[in-house]
Amino acid sequence: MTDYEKTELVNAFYQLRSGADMITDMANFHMDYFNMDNIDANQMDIHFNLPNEQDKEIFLVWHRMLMFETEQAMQAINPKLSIPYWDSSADRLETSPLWEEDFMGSFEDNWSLNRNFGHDGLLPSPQSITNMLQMSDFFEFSNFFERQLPHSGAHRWVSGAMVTSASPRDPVFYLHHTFVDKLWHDWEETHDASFYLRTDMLRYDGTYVFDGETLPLVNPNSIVDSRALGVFYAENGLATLDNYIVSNTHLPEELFYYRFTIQAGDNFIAAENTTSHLQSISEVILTPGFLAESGSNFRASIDAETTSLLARNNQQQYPREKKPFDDVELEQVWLWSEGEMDAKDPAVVMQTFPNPFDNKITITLNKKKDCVVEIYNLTGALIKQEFFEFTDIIEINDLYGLAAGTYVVKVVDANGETLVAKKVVKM
Amino acid sequence: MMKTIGVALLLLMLSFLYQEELNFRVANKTKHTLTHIRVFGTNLQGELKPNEQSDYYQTIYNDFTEEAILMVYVEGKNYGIYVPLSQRNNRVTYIIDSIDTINRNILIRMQVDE
Repeated sequence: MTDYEKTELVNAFYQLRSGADMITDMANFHMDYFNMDNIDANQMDIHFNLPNEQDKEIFLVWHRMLMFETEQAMQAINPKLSIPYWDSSADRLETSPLWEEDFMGSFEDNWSLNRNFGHDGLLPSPQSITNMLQMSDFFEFSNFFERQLPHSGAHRWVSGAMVTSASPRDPVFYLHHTFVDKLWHDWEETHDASFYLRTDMLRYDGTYVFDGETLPLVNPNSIVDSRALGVFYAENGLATLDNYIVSNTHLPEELFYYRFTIQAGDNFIAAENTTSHLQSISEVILTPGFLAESGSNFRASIDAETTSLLARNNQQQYPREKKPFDDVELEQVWLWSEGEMDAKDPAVVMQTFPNPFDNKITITLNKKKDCVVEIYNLTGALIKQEFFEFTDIIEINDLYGLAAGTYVVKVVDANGETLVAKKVVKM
Repeated sequence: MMKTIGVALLLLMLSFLYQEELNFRVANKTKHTLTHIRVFGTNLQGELKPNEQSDYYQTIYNDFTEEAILMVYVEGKNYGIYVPLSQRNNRVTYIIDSIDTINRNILIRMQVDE
């Protein structure tokens, strides 16, 4: 990826996490419907389906739609964006640029992902991918894919949020599942045998509303060819666009943007009354079979703007995190005193020891509850987070060993309500 | 000929899939009561109160048909997490150390019992 693409992609993830917070919505949905067989085997879910379920092997197509929904949201931010794929069979090192601070590493602390590379399992080998793509029966292929290393390996290897059902909380989930989707595309190109019993899917059944917008009903069988969503995967420096008719179904202008050479032909048709644009950083080649119909608005171009865009973008970096204590009055430093009552909730009692504070904070709640203590620095970065389970006494010793300085301490309960939020100075 | 070799390779690959007898139990070190616990496609009976552990369960685990996943239901939410597999044919305990109902996190570890 170019520096421009990386910067814009990282910015887009942060932007999706703000406001209506699409990332959390997707993570919660994925978690809520991950697998329901422990509660009711007849209830629809998205993972590890049983052979007699109607939604059996919905795994591949459901995640294809999730990637498409994410990519559409990103393209509303920047039309040149697409989700790159992480080939976990080739890019296997934790020292990879993938994990550097300017890319996926940016989210590790900011989003408390707790990645622990290699802790919970292995990545797939290239041979295991090759072998899998030889399977000819779709349900066996999908079943194997989901349960074995080509899919589960990356979840286990990254660990942290990725090893749980809330895995969409980690942005690398989207890079991983784009690779999963590419492999399914490769398999379908060879075998042409994907088939689903259902005609709709969870989330994409025409009833789910996110941020005031009802998501469409999608028949899984209508998108077994990734071209139906206008998706073409580039490989080995070449994006081959073929057997596609521009329709503007999803976007008023279909932009096919690649840093690689674009080769369009073999029944790639820019249809009448449609708008499309092939744009590459390197080269665009139109081959026999390409057709721009009369009345179409078609362009092909080389993108020479990215360098200047990158320079401008570096000065306009999207905020990495909304300060979680924006609602806290920071003008007054908390005057620690033993047994101070919190004005908002008389039942919440704060104590420090000794006074002035340099050793221990005790927070007493009026009843036992789950809560999280979050410590932020003044730039808004989350420095430390600790979950307290069903307790009415929270003790924080030495402010987790942090250096002397000014911090914000925030305690949030399971309903998302802030119990305590104070600016503190560690002596 | 090539197709025959391909099919043979595939069958060979499938024969090496992880398949063996597993003996496992689940221990609840959280402060929550856990219900609807499922591991390796096996639903555990009853619920686990804090500091309780289940009996051992035995299953013939085949990672082509079952999944190395622990599911558990807590306070209206379903939690799922991939579980580690013992390298040998040991009895193991999957200890649920923490369930963060606010951030929807679950932490587990595997203890080899013998």
